[in-house]
Amino acid sequence: MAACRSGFVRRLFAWVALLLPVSVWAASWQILVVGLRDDPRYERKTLEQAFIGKPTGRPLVAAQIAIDELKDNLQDAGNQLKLQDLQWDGKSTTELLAEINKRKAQVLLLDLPLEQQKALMEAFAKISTAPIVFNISESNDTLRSTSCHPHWLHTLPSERMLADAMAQWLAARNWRDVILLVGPEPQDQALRAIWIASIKRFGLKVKAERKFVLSGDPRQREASNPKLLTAEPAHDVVMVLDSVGEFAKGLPFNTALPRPVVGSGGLVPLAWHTSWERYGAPQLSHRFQKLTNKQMASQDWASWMAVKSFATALDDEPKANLAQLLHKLRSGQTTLDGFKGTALSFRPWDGQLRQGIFMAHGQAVAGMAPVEGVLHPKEILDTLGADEPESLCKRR
Amino acid sequence: MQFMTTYSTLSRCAAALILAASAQCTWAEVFVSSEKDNAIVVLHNDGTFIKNIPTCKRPRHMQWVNAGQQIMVACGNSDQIGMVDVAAGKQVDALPTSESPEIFALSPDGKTAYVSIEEASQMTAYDIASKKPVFSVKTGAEPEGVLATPDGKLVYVTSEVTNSVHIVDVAGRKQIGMVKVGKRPRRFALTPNGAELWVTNELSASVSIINTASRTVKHTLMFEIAGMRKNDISPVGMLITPDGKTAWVALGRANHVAEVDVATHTVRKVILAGKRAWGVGLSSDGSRLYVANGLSDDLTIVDVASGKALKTVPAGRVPHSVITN
Repeated sequence: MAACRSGFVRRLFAWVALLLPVSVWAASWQILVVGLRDDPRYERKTLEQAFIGKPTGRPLVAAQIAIDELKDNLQDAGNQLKLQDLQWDGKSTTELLAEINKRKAQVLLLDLPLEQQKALMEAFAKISTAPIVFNISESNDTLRSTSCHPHWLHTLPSERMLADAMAQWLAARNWRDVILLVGPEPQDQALRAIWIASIKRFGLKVKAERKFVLSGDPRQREASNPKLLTAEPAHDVVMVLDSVGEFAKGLPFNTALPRPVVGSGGLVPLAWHTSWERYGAPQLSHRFQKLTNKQMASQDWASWMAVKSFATALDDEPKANLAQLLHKLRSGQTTLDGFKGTALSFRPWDGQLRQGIFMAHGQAVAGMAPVEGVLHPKEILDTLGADEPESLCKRR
Repeated sequence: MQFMTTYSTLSRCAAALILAASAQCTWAEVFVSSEKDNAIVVLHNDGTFIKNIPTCKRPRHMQWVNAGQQIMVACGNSDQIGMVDVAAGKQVDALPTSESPEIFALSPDGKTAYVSIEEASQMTAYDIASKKPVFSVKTGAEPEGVLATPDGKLVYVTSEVTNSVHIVDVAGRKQIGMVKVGKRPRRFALTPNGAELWVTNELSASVSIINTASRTVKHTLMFEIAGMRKNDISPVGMLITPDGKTAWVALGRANHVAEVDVATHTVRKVILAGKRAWGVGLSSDGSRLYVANGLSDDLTIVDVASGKALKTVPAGRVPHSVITN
């Protein structure tokens, strides 16, 4: 059924594309959202779980909101942004490139996992004029370091930015002693490497590290019972790294001692949270809620921010071509407003959008990182994530 | 704006003195809208607390009306502009508006209120007497600052999202021009001769100075503070003194207020205020500047002559705007 529907959607978009009076506009920029067909993140049951930090639906509405925001400005200068949708099977990059070419897409919003993004990076070597790519859904640091690409811009924070934000927050409160609980999935091990580095960077201490499993089996209780996992040694916080989210969701208030839970549950570092009430953030969240009847999630914000970034660069330089726009964005010369209170820009060394991170729990935003008092010789926001001297990105 | 405020205040107190009804003339008081108290905090000019006047919910921008007897206050969470009677110490009437009004301007005859409606991306003109919307003009997303020219012909509106100033022709009820300014433009001030329109750019650490005749940006005034980065300076509140010589610009997260020479477009000095210095107001004699600090919930009183902060006093919870009589 899902495959049938997406096939229909593709045919529909093909017809719409045929009917568009493209030549009327001086410049019509095609923005293509590339999602994964039958994406497990968007299965109904998964969405119903509503794990904090996970997407709550496909990112198209948020992208359209950004298009509408700057539509009049762009139109005055003869520019127009058009949103298209593609659900890729995630297998053949040759087919994907052909589709990108057919649709004349100049900007891609990638709602794709790590492996597919890496494959697309390699495939880009085969084409002469590659589009500008915004990664709006994958936080894995590899895409910003060893596997980076000069056409990639990341509006979603990297995992390291999130981990650094949390470590700063804990260090600022002097909650330094950590019990670390890590899940059984391979992705949990990847998270562990990133978070352990942040723990070291900001002077926290792992007093005990344990692997958890989701199980009711009494023979596995040492690894599945939250009380046994968190009883000792003495600690300030329980940090849980859980790429699935189910264990982490149930952990707060089920610990042996009255200690806060942070990481994938409890207090969670996020790119966006609808409780933030400053800097015009509520208006954006309202616009999104009116259209979707949902709370705006980090991935929605990243999608909105991607289109907004491109539109802002175009608004600054209405006559610029694609290469010039990419240069303006990737070099950090375009000042962006992400409704987080400070001016944002992309890091030239890896294409990551520098931004503040919200420390949020279910009902509220407890605060924002970088925390007050953190210092940096050039730019405070660069205390979150890979800074220039330590960046492993070679293809800048 | 400040010019009008001062003028109406003086005329109000003069009238009160003539009538010998001195109780009507609450001379030298400071009124601060407190967003989270749903009240206007009333202070003596030296900062001593007098009372809170309850208002509609989330009061923000304020203007004097009815010869200084009443304050109109935009209430973001009540979708109205409250009419607060100062002598009675309460809100006596309200003008219903669209969702979430923040900043508004009054026509020179005082009959029309021009209100920026963030949620609907429009500026709506309301007839105050009949409480009816007269017309609306579409703006860019998140309109904020509104200013009506003293001749009553034009209304300027900033759009935070599209980084521009919209020029609305009142008679034609439509937009007749747009000027691109810095990032996230917020508030206005007009020089008394009407030649220059100043716009604060929150995310550009600057003020765009628009030549009102040619409708172009003639100068961009950048703010710099030793030891601070551009990102730390976020100008929002601003006023130009009635003599047209000085502009005061609150620098937001920089926690300072800047004194600017209007003629030369240069910063004379910056003065330390409270956390996130935001709204500014001037005493009627021009001797004192009041700076509302949104994140430290207080008001810094600056002695204009010496350019020094005299003291900082509590002023509600999330103080927004300041007016004086």
